[in-house]
Amino acid sequence: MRGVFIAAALWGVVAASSGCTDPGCMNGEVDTCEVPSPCQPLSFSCEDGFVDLRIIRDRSEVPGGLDSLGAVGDVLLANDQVEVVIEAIGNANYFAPSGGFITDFATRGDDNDSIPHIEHVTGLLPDDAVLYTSMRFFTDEDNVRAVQVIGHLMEDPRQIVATRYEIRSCEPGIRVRTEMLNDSDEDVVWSNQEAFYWGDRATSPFTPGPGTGYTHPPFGLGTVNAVMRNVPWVVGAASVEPGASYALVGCNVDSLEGFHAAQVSLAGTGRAVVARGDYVVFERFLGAAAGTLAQPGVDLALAVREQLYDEAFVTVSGTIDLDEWAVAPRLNRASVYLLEGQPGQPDGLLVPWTHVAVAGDGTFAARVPADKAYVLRVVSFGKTAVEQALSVGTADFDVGTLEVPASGRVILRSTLDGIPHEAQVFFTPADVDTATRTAARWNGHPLANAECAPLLGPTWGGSPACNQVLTFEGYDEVHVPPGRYELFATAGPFATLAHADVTVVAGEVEDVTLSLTSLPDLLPALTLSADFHVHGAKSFDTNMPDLTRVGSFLAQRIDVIAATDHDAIWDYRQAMDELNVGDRVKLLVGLETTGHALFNYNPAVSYPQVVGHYNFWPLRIDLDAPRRGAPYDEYAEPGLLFTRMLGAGLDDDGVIQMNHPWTAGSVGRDFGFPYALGLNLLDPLPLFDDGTAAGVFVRVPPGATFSNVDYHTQEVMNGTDNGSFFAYRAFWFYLLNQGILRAGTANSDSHTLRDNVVGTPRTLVTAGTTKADFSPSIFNRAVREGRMTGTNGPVVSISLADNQGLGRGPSLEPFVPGSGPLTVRVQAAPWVPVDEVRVFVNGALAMRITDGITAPGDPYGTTGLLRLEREIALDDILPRLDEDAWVVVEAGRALPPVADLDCDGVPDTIDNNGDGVVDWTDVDRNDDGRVDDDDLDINGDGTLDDGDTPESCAGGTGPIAVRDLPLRGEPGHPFVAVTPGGYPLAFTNPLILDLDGDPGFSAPGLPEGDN
Amino acid sequence: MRTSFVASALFGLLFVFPSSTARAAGPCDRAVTGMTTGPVTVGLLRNDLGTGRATCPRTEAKLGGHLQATLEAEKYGLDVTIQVASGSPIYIVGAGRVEGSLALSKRWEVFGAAEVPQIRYLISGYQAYHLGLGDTSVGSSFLVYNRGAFAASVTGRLTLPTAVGLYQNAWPVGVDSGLTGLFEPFSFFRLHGQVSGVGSYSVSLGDPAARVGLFGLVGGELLLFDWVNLTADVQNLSFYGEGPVDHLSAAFGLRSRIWGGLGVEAQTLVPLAGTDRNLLGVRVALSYRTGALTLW
Repeated sequence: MRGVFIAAALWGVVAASSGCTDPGCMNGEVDTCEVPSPCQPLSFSCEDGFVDLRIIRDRSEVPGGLDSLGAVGDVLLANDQVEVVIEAIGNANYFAPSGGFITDFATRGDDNDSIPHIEHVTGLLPDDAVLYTSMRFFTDEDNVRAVQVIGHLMEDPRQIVATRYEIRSCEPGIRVRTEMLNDSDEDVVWSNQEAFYWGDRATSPFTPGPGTGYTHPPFGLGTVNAVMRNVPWVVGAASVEPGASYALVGCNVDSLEGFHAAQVSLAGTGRAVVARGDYVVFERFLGAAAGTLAQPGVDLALAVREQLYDEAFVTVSGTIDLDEWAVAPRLNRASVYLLEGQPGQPDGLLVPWTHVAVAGDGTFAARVPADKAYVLRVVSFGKTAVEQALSVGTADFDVGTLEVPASGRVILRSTLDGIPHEAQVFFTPADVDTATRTAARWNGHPLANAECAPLLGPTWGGSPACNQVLTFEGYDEVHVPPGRYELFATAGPFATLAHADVTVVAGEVEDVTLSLTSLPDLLPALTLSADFHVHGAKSFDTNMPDLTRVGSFLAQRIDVIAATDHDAIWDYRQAMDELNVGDRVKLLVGLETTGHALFNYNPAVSYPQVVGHYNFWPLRIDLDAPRRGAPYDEYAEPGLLFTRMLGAGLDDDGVIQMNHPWTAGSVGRDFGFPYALGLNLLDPLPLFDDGTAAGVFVRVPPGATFSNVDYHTQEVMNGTDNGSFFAYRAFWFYLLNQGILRAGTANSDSHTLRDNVVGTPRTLVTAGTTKADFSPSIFNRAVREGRMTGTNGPVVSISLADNQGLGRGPSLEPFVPGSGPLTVRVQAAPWVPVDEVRVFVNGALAMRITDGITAPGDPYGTTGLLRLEREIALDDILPRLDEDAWVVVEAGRALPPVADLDCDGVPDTIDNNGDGVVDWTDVDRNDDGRVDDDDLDINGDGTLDDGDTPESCAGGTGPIAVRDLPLRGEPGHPFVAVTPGGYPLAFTNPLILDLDGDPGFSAPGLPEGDN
Repeated sequence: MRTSFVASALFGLLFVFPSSTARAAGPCDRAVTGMTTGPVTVGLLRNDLGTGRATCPRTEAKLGGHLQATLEAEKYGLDVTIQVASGSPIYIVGAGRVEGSLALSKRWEVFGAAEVPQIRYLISGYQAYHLGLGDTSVGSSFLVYNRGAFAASVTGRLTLPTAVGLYQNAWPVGVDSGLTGLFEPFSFFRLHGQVSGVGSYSVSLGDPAARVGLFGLVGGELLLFDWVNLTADVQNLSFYGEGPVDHLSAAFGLRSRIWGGLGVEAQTLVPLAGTDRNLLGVRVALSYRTGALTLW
C-alpha cells in the first residue's frame, strides 16, 4: 500500500504540474485513444473555407505535380488552400516500412506537388523507422478533419508511435502531432522528427543559419551528430514550375534540431536520452505555398511563427530592371537573396533568410524577420549582380528599382537534313575571360550542383539547364550573359555535329542556325539504338519535366527507350502525345527498383544493406495503383524482386538488367549488388549457397522462383563519363569466364540534361525488327540473346562465319566457328575520335590495333566514317584452337593502363602520376584531386623513404577516372563538348566460340593466378 | 498493485520473527572493520534497484563511482560506427556515488545512495547524453535472526526519480523488498543469498510501464587475509512477462581494509545470459565503516 500511496502522491504532483504533456495515445490504449489536436495557438481565417477528408476512389482526385504518386485507396485531406495525400496503411514507399505518411502535398488546384515523401523517424537507423498499423478518421468537428495513424518503431512493437494529421479550413497547411513512447527495456536516444525525402536534383532544403541557406555540410553515419543544428524553420524550395515551397515550423518546440542535404532533411525535437517509460511529443505546422525558390515557404513560416512566438516580420519589395525585350525571365535570370549581416562580410557569416524569384514584370517581394540588418543580393546567371545594405525595422520596405547587367539574347534554330529538328545545344566559353565571368552554380551549393559556364537555367530542371538548351521543333530563345561562346549542337552519334562561334553582346540578339546532317550509313541494318536506363520527374531524384525528358529523346534520336523511373512505373504518355512523338521513339514501359530499407542478408557483414538497383521491362502501368503498379521492392534479395515482377507484367520476353554493378551509392545504400556483397573477383563463385557472400550471389532466396543471378543483362557502360567502366567490365568478364553468360548493355542513366546526356552511351540492338513494325517481344529477345553493342559514338561491327558459312555477330549463343577470319569494322561520325581497337579473348587483351585507323580531317564534316576494316585470323588471338573461348572487341580512345591495387580483381587505379606504371604512388590518399608528394608520406614522418612503401594490396586505391581530355581547340574536343567528362568508347557483346568439340560452351575459368 | 502487495508481504515479516531471536552470538556480532562484506552490490537497473544487500547492519559512508557500458568490443571491435550501423546502440552510464548506512541498533539500519553526478551517454546513429543528478535510493533492513552460523534480514529499498532533466513526461519509481541470508561455516568463508521482489512504476499521465519481477542471488566470500576478501556471486533478475531470464550474471568483488575503518573495494558484474545487453558494470568505492551507533 505504501507504494500505491507514494505513486498516487507523485501522480498528483505530476498532474498539477503545468509542464506535463497531454499523453494522448501514450497511455497504451491504442484502440480507443485520440491524439490531441496540435498547435492550438494557430488561427487562420477566410471566407468560404471548407475541409474535406475522403478515401481516394478515382485518380482524378489525386493532386498533380512532378512528384505526384497518390493512388486509389490513399486518403485525401484537403481544404480551400491545400491538398494532402496520406498513404493507405498498406501502401509503403521509399524508406518507410508502411503507409500512413504523406506522399503528395500541393496547393489547391495548382497540381504542384514537389515532394516525393514525408515520414516520421526517431533517428537514422532502420530500427528508427516508424511502421503504422492502423488508421482512423475524425470528422465530427466543424471545419476540422483529422487522420490518426498508430503504430510502432520498426523492430519493437512496444515503442508506440501515434500521429494526428489535422486540417482546418483556411489554413495553408496541416497540423501534425506525433507521440512516441519508449516502452522498451532500455533508455534510448531519440529525436522525434519529420523526415523530408527531397530525393536530390529536385526540391532543395533551405534553412537560416550562418553560411547556410541551401548550403549544408556533408556528413556520414559517423559524423552526422557533428552537423546537427537548430533552426527556426525548414523550407523546401522547388526550382521547376509548377512548384510548391514547403515550410515546417515547430509548435511545441521553438527550434528544430536536425540535419539537411540535397537528398533528405530530418528535423524535430532535440536529441535526448529518453528513459524507459517516457514519451516524446512533437507538434508542428507543415505548410505549402505555390511558387518556386524559398520565398513562398519562408513567408508562410514567418507568418506561422508570428502567431506562435510573436516574432514580427516585414515585407521587403522592389523591382529588377530587366531587358525590355526579355522573354518571361527564368529563375536564373534574376533572383534576390536577403541575408542578415553587412556587405563585405564573408558568406560564411551571413545568414540567408530568403531567396525570392523575380516576377515577369521584374517585381519581387519577400518577408524577413523585423529589426535586422540585411544584405540584399541580386543574383543573375548565378553571379552577384547587385549587393546593397538594407536595414529594416518594423515597417515594410521597398528598395526601389535595381539595375542588373543586361544580357544578350540568342535565338537557336536547329535543322537536320534541312528540316527543323530537335537538338541538344551546348554553350561553352570561348575564352578564359568568359569562362571566369560566367562559371557559377545554381543556388551556390557546391555539393548539390555542378559548375556551369554559363548558367543558362537551374541545373536540374527543364531546358535550359546548366549550359544546355533543347531546341523543341528546332527552335528556342535564351538569355545569355555577354561573352564569347562556342556552341555545339548534337542530334546523337549518327549525325554530324554543328558548331558556331557566337559573341553575345548585352542588349543585342544573335540568331544562330545549327545545321546537322544525318549519317544513316553508320547504323548497321536492322539495328535500333536504345537507352535502357532513363529517368524523369516520376523518379524521386529528379524534377526534370516530362516534356523536356521526351524532347531529349527526340533530340538525341534514340529509337527505343526503356522508361525506368525509380520505384514507380511511368510511360510519359501525356508528353509523348503533346510532342506528337508518334513512331519517332518506341517506349518500353519499365521500372528501376531502388532499395531504400536496409536489411541483413549478407553473412560477411554485421550491418544491414540494400541489394542495389535493377531495371525491368516491359511492365504494366496502372495509373490507379500505388507506385503506378510497381511492386513493393524493399526487404527482398534480387531473386525475390524478379519473382515479384512477374505479377507486374514481366513476361517470358521481358528483360531484367543489373544496373551499375560496382558502385558504392549514397545515403548508405549501395547501387550495385556485387559491390554490396563485397565479392572478390579473384575467387570463383560457388555453385550453390555455401554460407558466404558469394553464395548469396548465386542462391535462390526464400520465397523466390528465381536465383539472385537470374537476370539477363548487365550494364557495362553507365553514364556519360564512363567513370566506372573498368569495374563494370571486370565484373562482366568475371561472369563470362565462369560460364555465367549475361549480355552487356550501355545506358546513360540520365536524370537531367546536365548529369548524363541521354543516349550517351546507348545500346545498338540488332533486333530483326524496325520502328515501323516494332515488335517488343522480338526486340527484347534480341536483347536477352546479347545481339548488341554498346557505344557513345564509335560503331563496332564484328562478324565470324560459323562452320556452316553463316556470318555470326555478337550473341550469347555458342557456335562452332569456321576457318575464316574475324572481321572487324569500325565506323564513327567525324566528330568521334577513334584511336584504338582492342580485341579481348577470355577477358585478356589479345590484340591492340592502333595502326591503319583513319581520322577524318573535318570533325564537322560528313566524310571519313569508316575508320578501320580488318580481318584477324583466329590463331592470332586465341590461346588455343581446341578450347572454348569468348571474344569481345572494343574501339575508341586509347585507354591508359589501370591496376587492381587492393587485390579484389577490380581495376581501381589509373596512372595518375604519368610515370607509365600503376602502383601505390598513383593513389590520391588525401582526396585533394592531385597525386603528389603529399600522398606519398604514408607513415607521416615527414620524409619520403622506403618506410612509406605499403604492404602489397594495402596501399589504398584510386582514382581511376580518365583525365587529360582534349581542351578547347585540341583535336577531339568537339566530342568532349557534347559528352561532358567522357571519352569515345564502344564494345561488342561476345562471340561465344565452341571449339572443343563438345556441345555447348565450356567456360575457360578465371585467369591463372587469380584464384 | 502487484508490487505493493509483495512489498507489504515482505515487510510483514518484520512482525513475524520474534524479537528475541538475535540474543545469542551470530555472524553479525563479529567486529566491524574497514573491509566491506556481503554480496556484490553492482546492478543494472537504476541506482541499486534489484541488487544485493548485506545481511548485517552497519554504519558506513562510501564515496565511489559506477560505470556501466554496452560497448560490444568482442563482436565489433572498437569500430563504433559498425556497431551502431549493425543496430547495436552503445550505452555508457557513469556516476559518482555517495552512499551510506546508519545502524540505528544492532538489528536495524537505514541506508541510502545518491548519484552525484551522473552521465548517461547513448550512441545510436544519433548521440545524446544527460549530465546531472542521478536517481536516489533509500531503504531499511532489519536483522531478524543472528545465531550460530546463520543470520537473516528483511530489507527494502525505494528508488526515486531525482535525475532532474532526464525525465520528460514520466518519472520512474522503483521498489524492491526481500530476505537476505548469511551462513558462516568457517571464520574465513561465508555464503550469502537473497531473494527479493522488484517492481517499477512510471509516474506519468501516460502508460505507467509497470513491471514486477524477482531477484535472486547466491554467493560466497572468501577471506584471503584478515584485511582482504574476494566475493563471487551469481545473480538472476527476471521480470514477469519479459521472458524467462532477464539477466543471469556473474559478479565479483575485491574488498580490502586499508587502515582501521577505512576500506576500498572494486566490484564488477558481467551478464552471462538474458535480454539485457550490458557488457559490463563496474563499481569502485572508498568507504569508512563502523559498528552500530546503538541509538536505542
